[in-house]
Formats: sequence, C-alpha cells, structure tokens
Amino acid sequence: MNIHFGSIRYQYIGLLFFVIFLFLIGFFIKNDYYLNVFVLIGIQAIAVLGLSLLMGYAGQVSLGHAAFYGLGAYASGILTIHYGLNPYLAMFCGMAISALMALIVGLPALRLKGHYLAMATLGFGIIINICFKEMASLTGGPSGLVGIPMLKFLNFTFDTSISYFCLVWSIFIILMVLSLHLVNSPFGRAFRALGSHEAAAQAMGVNTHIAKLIVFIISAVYASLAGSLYAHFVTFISPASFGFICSIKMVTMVAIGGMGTLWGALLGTSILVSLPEFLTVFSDYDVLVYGLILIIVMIFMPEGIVQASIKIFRNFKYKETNG
Amino acid sequence: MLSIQNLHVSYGPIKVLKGVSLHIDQGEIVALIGANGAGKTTLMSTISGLLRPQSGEIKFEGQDIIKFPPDKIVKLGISLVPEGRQIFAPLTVLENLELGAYLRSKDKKGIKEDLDKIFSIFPKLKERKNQQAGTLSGGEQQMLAIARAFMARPRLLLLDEPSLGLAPMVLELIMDSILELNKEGLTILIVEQNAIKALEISTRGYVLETGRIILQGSSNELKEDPDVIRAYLGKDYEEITER
Repeated sequence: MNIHFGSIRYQYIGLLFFVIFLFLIGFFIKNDYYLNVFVLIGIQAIAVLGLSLLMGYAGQVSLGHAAFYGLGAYASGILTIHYGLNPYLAMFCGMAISALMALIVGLPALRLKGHYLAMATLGFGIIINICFKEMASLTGGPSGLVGIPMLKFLNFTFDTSISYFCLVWSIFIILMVLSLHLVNSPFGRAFRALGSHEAAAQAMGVNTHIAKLIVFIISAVYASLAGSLYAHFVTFISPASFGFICSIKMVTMVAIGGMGTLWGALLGTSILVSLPEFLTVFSDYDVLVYGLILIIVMIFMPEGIVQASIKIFRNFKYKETNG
Repeated sequence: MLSIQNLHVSYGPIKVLKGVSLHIDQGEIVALIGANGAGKTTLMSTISGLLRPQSGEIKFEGQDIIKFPPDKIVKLGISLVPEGRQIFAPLTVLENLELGAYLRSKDKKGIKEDLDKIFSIFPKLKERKNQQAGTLSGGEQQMLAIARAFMARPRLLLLDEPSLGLAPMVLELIMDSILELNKEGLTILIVEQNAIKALEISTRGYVLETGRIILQGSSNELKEDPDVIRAYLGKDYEEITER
C-alpha cells in the first residue's frame, strides 16, 4: 500500500474536510467566547503558516517573527488612527514594510551558514519591540494603541465574532491553498531541497541565497497580515503582545505540529492557543501542565504530531495488509 | 572540454591542492584515484564552484569559470553528484529528479523525455517515484543522485565516490549505468577510492596524492603500473617486487 500523502490531491481532500469542519463550528457554536478563541487560532495560524514555510521547509529558524506580526499590527493601528488611512490600504502598507524589513535583515543574515538567521532575527525582534515601547508619540508606548477601527466591506462591518471568524478563516484557506501550490512548485522544491541539503541544492543550480531570502520575505508578509487582522479584531494593541515570548511560541507551534507539513502549522497553533483555555481547570498549575505537555510531545513525537500520526497510520496499514 | 592548470586550494592555512593540472576531452570517462585526504573531493567541489581556489585556472570549453557561482556552473553544463549522495530525503524520488532539472523548469516536454530516459536506465526509480527519497536503499539513493544530476542535461558529469558504502552487486549496476550514460554522449569525471572499478570503466586516469598529481596515463597503463598496484589495487607488495 503506497499512500503518497504529499500529493496535492490528498491535500485538497483534507482541505475540503477542514472547510466542512469550519462550517460546522460556525453553525453550531453560538458562544462568542469560544468563537473568539477560534478567531485567534485563525489569526495566529496565518502567521505560523508562513513560519512553517521558512522553518519546516527551507530549514531556517527565525526567532523574531513576532516583530513582523507586530509591524503589521502597528502599521494598521498607526496608519488608521493617526493618518486616517483606509484599513485595507494600511494592511498592505504593513505587509510592504514587513517585506522591506525582512529584506534588510535577511540580506546579510541569510548569506551566512548555521544559526545566524536565528541570532539576527532574535536581535531584530527585540529592537522592534523596544521601538514599539519607546516611540510613544506614534505607538502609544507601553500602554498601547487604543481605538483601532474595525474592518468594513462596503456597508458591512466585521464587528461580530461570527463575521470575523468567516473573514479570518477564508483568508487562512486562501493562504493555505497558495502555500500548498508554492511548496509543490519548482521554486518550492528548491527551498525544500536547500532545507534538506544546502550544498546539494547549490549543486543543482539553486541560488540558495535568493531562495532563502524570498521564503523569509513571504513568511514575514504572512505574519504581518496576521498582525493587521489581529489589530482590527481586538482594536487595541500593546507591545507586550509582540515580544520575545510571542516569537518563541510561534516557533513552538511549528515544531509541535510538525516540520515540513503545513497542516502541522495549523494543528500546532490550534493546540497551543486553545490549550490554556482547557487548562484553566488546573488553576494555578496550568503553566506547569502546559510545559509538561510540550515536553511529552517533543520526547515521544520529535517529528511533530502530524508526522507521528502518519507514521502510526502507516504501521497500522502495514500490519493490516501483511497479517 | 575541461582543463585545469596549476590549481591551488586551501582550507584556511591547510593546503589541500598544490598545483593540480588535468584535462578532460569530450566523450571521455576520466578516473581520478587517490587515498583518503588526497584532495579528490576538494577538487570536485572547486570545479563545481562550491569552493574558491587560491590560484590556478579552470577552463570549461575555453571559458574561465573560476569566479562563477555554483548555479552558473550548472547552467554551463557541469553537474556534480556529491559524495555520500546527498539526496533530498524528505522529498519524493520524482521531486528529487525534477529538482535536478531546476534551471530549466519551464521545459516541461524536455523534462518528461529525460524522465523517461532515466526510468529506462533505472527502472527501480520508476517503481519508487512517489516514495520519499530517504526511504530508498543505499544503492537506489546513489542511482537517484546520478539520475538527478543527469536531469540538468549536463555535458560534463562529476561523480564523487559513487561506490561509497555499496554492496559489490549494486556497484556493478551503478558502473553499468555510468557506462550507459557515457554512451548517451556524457563526458564523465569519476573520483574513486575503489581504483579497480574506476580504472575498469574509464579511458584515462590520474593519481592524486597529498594534493599533487603523481601519475597519469591510460587506464590500462595505470592498472599495470607497479606503484598503483601496490598503493591502490591492494596487491601484496612483496609479490610484485619478487617478480
């Protein structure tokens, strides 16, 4: 039995099931609080999807993705509040700024081998976070930016949880389809190859510097878009939401879900965002249990939950067919 | 086709190649043999642009390629099968092959033709084309590495230690396929520790020792050379000197 999970046909079947699942959630869950959790999962998943392309496929670790997430959020906030710009235009400005920043940081950092990108992005994330805190006239400083307008489409305002739920997850599905095709395109093969063997990829004629840079920029744009969506959803942003911990969380989401699978990004995000909600029953000990779960997953499923599940399924199939 | 003059390469203060000169003509299979640490892999990496030499000259069809980046050298028609195979384990066999043709991704028809050709030379790869490359056996991975390099439509193929870690039976298969690729018009430079095999399939050979070419000649001559026999072909030293 040879099941090729990577083929795009299987991915589309999976996507179809997922859309049905979303419809069921949207239809049956009436509680705004739970819907909000799903909205936050969707927003975060968009950012993590981009990071998954960079980490899980191209093999480059970024420890500063919260900076791009924050740049998107602050660009949206500042441009709409201080300059009265159209929210969608502000969103695009945020993406452009993030892309430019990624280019500036990535250009030198990605030329070096090893963990230099991780180091450079770590520093970059901290610098950007300090800017959010210190440029108080624009960003409102540590107390944050209040009164970011909600998104509107013609006369319709996305002010209810269910409407924002539909918006966010539609964007996620579009990006998921784009990413699936990107990963299976010649360029996608190129950056996956460099993630597995950089020198060999060069020997194939892949310009690895440019390939890495492009993936880094794409992932920054995803994060920025997610940040803008976040700003327009909660209408209030402060530097604390975009700090170092946020970057680490994103990296953890990719690792927990599984490297080299886009579904892993979704799964990792869902688990890490919703887990604290379930863990409230442990009251003061929730952080402890949270850490314990992470440790257990990393010890027993080092390749991530998605890959581990596929392996278990394959072994099961094998036993079935071979008696 | 390829000519190298007085090539010097070092890793930091350590000199690896100390004035290597060699040439390869169209349609040849040339063997480069030598012990561990002689500089064989260094030479291959330098030709394919992964390493920068201190001095010397590498000319491919009259063009000086010494300052070219790796991707440009592939474009010119030199393809490397790296030591230890270095296939892309998480990608499928087919994706690995398509990556070989990365620089001409738009040429769908040509890629299809080359895939058919490859699958007729390596039927095992066709059977396993949707499998992750990391799950292949060592021999199959070597086949994939050679096939992947072939997909770039090179005119010169650089093979670095294709025998590494392969069972003798599988090695025969690989060597046969190398001969077959040569018949298709491919010029090949093969680097080997397994000197017997390399000299069997090649027309000419060079012996590299601690960064210098110490011997060169037709493969048949080299096979008879007492020094080569003693040092690389594993025959007993006394047995030769007594004769």
